[in-house]
Amino acid sequence: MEFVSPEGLRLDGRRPRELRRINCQLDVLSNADGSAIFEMGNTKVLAAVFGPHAVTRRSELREEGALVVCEYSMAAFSTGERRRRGKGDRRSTELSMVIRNTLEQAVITELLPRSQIDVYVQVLQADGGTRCAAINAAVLALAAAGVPLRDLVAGCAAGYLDGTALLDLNYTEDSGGGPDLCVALAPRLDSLYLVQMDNRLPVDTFQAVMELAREGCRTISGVMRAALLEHTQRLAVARGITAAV
Amino acid sequence: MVGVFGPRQSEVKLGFTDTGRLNCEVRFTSFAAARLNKTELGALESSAAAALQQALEAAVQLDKFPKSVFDVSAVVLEGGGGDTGALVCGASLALADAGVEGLDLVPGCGVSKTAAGELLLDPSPEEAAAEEAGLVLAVMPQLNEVTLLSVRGRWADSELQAGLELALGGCGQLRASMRECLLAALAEPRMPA
Amino acid sequence: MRPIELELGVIAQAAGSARLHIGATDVIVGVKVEVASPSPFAPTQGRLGVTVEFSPCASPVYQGRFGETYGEQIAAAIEASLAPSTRAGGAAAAAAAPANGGAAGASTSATATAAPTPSASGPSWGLDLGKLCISAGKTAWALYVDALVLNDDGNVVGAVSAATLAALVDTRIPKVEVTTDAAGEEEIELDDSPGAAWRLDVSRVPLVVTVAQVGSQCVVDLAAPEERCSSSALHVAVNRAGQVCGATSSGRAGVEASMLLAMTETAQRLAPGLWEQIMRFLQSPAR
Repeated sequence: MEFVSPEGLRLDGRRPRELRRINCQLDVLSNADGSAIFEMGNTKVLAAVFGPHAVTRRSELREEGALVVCEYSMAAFSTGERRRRGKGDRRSTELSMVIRNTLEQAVITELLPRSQIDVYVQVLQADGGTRCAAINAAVLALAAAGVPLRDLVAGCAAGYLDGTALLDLNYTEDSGGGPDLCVALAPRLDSLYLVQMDNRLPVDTFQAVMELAREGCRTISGVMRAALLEHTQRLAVARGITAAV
Repeated sequence: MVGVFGPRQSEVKLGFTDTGRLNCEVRFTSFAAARLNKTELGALESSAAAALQQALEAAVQLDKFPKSVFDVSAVVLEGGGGDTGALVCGASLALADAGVEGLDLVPGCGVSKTAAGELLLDPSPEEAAAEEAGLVLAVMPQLNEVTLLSVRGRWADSELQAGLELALGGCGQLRASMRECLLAALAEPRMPA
Repeated sequence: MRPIELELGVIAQAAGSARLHIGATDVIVGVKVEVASPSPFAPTQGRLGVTVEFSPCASPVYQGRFGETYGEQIAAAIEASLAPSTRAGGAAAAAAAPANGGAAGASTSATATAAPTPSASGPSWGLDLGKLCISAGKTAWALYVDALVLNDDGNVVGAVSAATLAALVDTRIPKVEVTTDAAGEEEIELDDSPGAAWRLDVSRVPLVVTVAQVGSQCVVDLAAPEERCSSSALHVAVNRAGQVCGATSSGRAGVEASMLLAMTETAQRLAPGLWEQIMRFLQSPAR
């Protein structure tokens, strides 16, 4: 299968260094303290944040900082082939842990000792890059909930197929057998909070793919920042704090 | 056959519950549910257990038993048609026999509507299989409160009313027999545990 | 009833989908179709499976497996309202019974009295599973209705029922060509082009209306705080003609026998209007 045409176009018509269309929606759930939907092409993930609140299990109470709890689940209709078990399977458990680790570094936990922050990620549509979209949705939801963050962490994936480094793989490209590098970056601090890779990649090509992924993270972080600012502006106008622009 | 165990201490991980819990479990013996495969059987057992719980919860005074749980275990020896009604009656009798304080006995019975529009009380398995619509009702006759109602199929208004009345009447009869049975059992000397 | 917001086609990969808001209650229903083998009890019919899941996004209590039983109960009620006997396995001795009619036999506690599966999907069923058959005894469409509750502000059953109706209207099933090759083996060919898809007939699909008892009154569409005040409720499935197609009781206390009929009557009054309203919206060109 050809993933990159001779003219340099991918299966969905994108250029190798082009991201899919991104859409962010904030405060989509009334019950959660913070919520967001992050869409990247056909991948659509909903995240909800509850907290900070008192720790539910006293044994897990941490004096030094907040406890971040995360659960990742996929809706039965999210994947091309219907998924019977949305949570509790190995992949979901692994991803819950991965996302939790990433978020724990992003949240300034020292400011909220002895408390707990619940982050729930629900995949509504899966078309490649779900873990990155999950991280992005979670970070947006945390920001919407007012949880202090070190930086606007963004996640992005990149791969290498047909001799080209490709940014933001969709499901077909992901299953193409090439490497899949998923990265979460804090752009201002320029530090990586997550690096995960499937498959093999020679070291020199790795540098190129890594750099591409980091670029993608920076762009996505910018988009998220713009979405958050716009949302805050709308809220401020609605509450009469500022006049409409 | 229904066995009641309790009140027993609730699992520690559930924490403090100010009302008791009813934990219902229903098992079909292999000869009672011969034609079903494993998943269907599992679904049938869990739905029967849910029905049982729904029917009994209102009758047992659970707030008198904080932090405890009652295990109601039912085994269906001969299944098919009207199982739920029999399950509810049996479980209610078992609870009464165990000395659990309740608001009332809970008889349950079913009604089938044939294609011709005839209503049959307490249908046999063949009648139930041939029904066009049916319902199962469990009620606390003294309080006249229905604890379980499950209606299947399409009913005309008059048919539904008649069906409900028929079921309520049937439950009234069942309660009388249940009461007699309990009184008779009390009269017998009890085997030492 | 609270105003309803409905959106179709929210899940691109599903055959049909709908997102429904009623008050703050938020549910998404996705319908997926797969080619599968029919049940041995009903070789000329397709399969139907309904699941209801509570997303932890609705509340932290739904983490892990909590809410699974509640979801199963709602799923059983919805599935029974569409096709009564496919779930309640039932009588061991019963032979394949004639159409266990009626578009609904809501049983959150699906009773064992229902017949295993009917031999023919009768005209009184909510969904004609016979239309889902591709090749009798060998292949048929399996229809999976998956509901996800994103926010619970009361009346989840009603929301899921209405969203299911909408999602079924939105569902497009690809046309199938069955060819027999030289060896007598059957080949299935799916026609994926958008124009070739067909839609389900939903004219007999009922809506479930939850009527609760608060004090001595019958109340419909309870919000979450109101639900905590009610001791018992009746979920009544009513079709567009106002006929009762099923009912299930729920709640920790019993329902007064005299109230039962009043409750079903309330549901019968409301459901047809709601049905028409939803269908009008779904079929309007503006959508």
